[in-house]
Amino acid sequence: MGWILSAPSVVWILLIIVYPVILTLWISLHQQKMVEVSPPFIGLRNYLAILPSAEFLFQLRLTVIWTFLNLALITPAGVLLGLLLNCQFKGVGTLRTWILFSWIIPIVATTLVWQWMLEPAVGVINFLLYEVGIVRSYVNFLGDPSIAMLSIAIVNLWRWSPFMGIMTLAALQNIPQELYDSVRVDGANAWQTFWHITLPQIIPTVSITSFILMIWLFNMFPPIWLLTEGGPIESTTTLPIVIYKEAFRLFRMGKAATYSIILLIVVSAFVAAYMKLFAKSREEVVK
Amino acid sequence: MKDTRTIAKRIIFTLLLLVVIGWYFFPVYWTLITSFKTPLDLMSSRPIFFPQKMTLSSYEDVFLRSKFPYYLRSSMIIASMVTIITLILATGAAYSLSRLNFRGKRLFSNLILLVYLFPGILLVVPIFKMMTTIGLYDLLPSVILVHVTITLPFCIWTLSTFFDQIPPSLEDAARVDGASKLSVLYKLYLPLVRPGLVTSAIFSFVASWNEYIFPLILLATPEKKTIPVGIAGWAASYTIDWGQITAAAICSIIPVAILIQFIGRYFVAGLSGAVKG
Repeated sequence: MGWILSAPSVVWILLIIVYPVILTLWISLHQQKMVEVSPPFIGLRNYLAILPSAEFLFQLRLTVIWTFLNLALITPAGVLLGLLLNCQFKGVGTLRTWILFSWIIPIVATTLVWQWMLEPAVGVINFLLYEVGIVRSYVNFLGDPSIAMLSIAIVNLWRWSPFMGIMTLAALQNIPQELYDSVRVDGANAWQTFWHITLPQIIPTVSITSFILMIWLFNMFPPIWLLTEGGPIESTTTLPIVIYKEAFRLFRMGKAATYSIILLIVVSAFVAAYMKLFAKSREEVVK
Repeated sequence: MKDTRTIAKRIIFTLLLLVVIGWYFFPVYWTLITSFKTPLDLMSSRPIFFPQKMTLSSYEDVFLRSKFPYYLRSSMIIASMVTIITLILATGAAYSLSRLNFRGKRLFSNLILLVYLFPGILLVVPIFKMMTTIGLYDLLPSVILVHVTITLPFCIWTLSTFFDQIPPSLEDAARVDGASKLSVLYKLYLPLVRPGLVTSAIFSFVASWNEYIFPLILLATPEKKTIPVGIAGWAASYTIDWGQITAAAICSIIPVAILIQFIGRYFVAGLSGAVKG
């Protein structure tokens, strides 16, 4: 009975997620150009062409930089946001729900809003920075290779920090009041309370959330594609952008599949490393 | 002495709060007023923060002089179908995960977690090949098929937490009266998990409505494009009409605002529950 009710979902997932992963492996071993039914088998030649190339190393480095730049921005900002939302003030209930707004609107709406604000000639951000005196001339945020990735990361911070904030808030609200009461009796000040009670209690949630975020960041396609298409001069061409370009601009499906498999392996390696690290720190806590 | 300190603290806190609210909501305000600005105000070299005159002309452009109505039609069809299919599949799966024991249950719940985390971009190449092979390329069902796997994990989790909250004694009582397992699900449980169904429905609709990658690669005919893919194309053209673009962006945000207003609370709870579980 349980089997019958779950079977449709299982079959659906096998067909749309599991089978395609196997198909990707198959395509990566063939010289698939567009949609030929039986492309020629070329073994590992796709892998041998990509892996040693300087281009790939550059793209891999960009992907890692992109992921950890975002994590370094989103995690602390989200935790601070969670702490703020945990305070009591007028309207906090409304703010707790509406804070999700920037995370939940269509990604295309996010990028359009920010493209408009970051516009190099008439954008409001350039206007404000110029009027306040922070910049001496208008900045081409998305067109300057040295700051394009940072600009996208700031947009992504706007989008993803509420997610981290809400997770942190949920963890904060699960801390039992007795813990706070017991240290208050011992005469701890606010800072000590935060350091010894609050922080250890929210760390598990924050690390799981940033772990999930890491997986998504490695594979994040829409914000980068919509804001810069990987440019200017390839300065934001992370691996997901490469996959899309190879497949739908250059029509080299075989290569795109190979990049997909490589990215999957890279992410799995980071996942394994993260889990090992996490398991270790947990053991230390137990000790 | 103490009074001035608390007042200073309160002022700093209020300022901090204003900065946070400004950072998250000014971009939306800016988009909203841009969409209502007159063409003259739009072209002004100094940005106008509080326009004196408002007009609906950008919205008229969107609905009467662009392909937006087509995009709206595609998005509505895809998101509605995804919602219906997800609800049917997720209810069965959530009920069996929460209430029944069967072989491979653990494996199934692990599979759901994997699907939740699995990034879409890694599937674009094989999904494109699959859909062209079976002849679904450039047809709306191709996108529906894929979107259901995006919405399923979250909805199965949400619904099973709702099933978990129902005391098993209720089911036992109904069974004593001779009801079969299926009719128990249908007549007893479904009314009780209604809030879970509403949450799942709105979530599925919005997730499909927002999704960008799969309609991008699977639909080619301009009249079949969804709203995100369609309006993203406008910003890439040579003559960018920001009034029209911001008006379309606001239209794409409306279902999301409805979601937050009605199920924001459940949604936050489901989200944190999903990550813990």
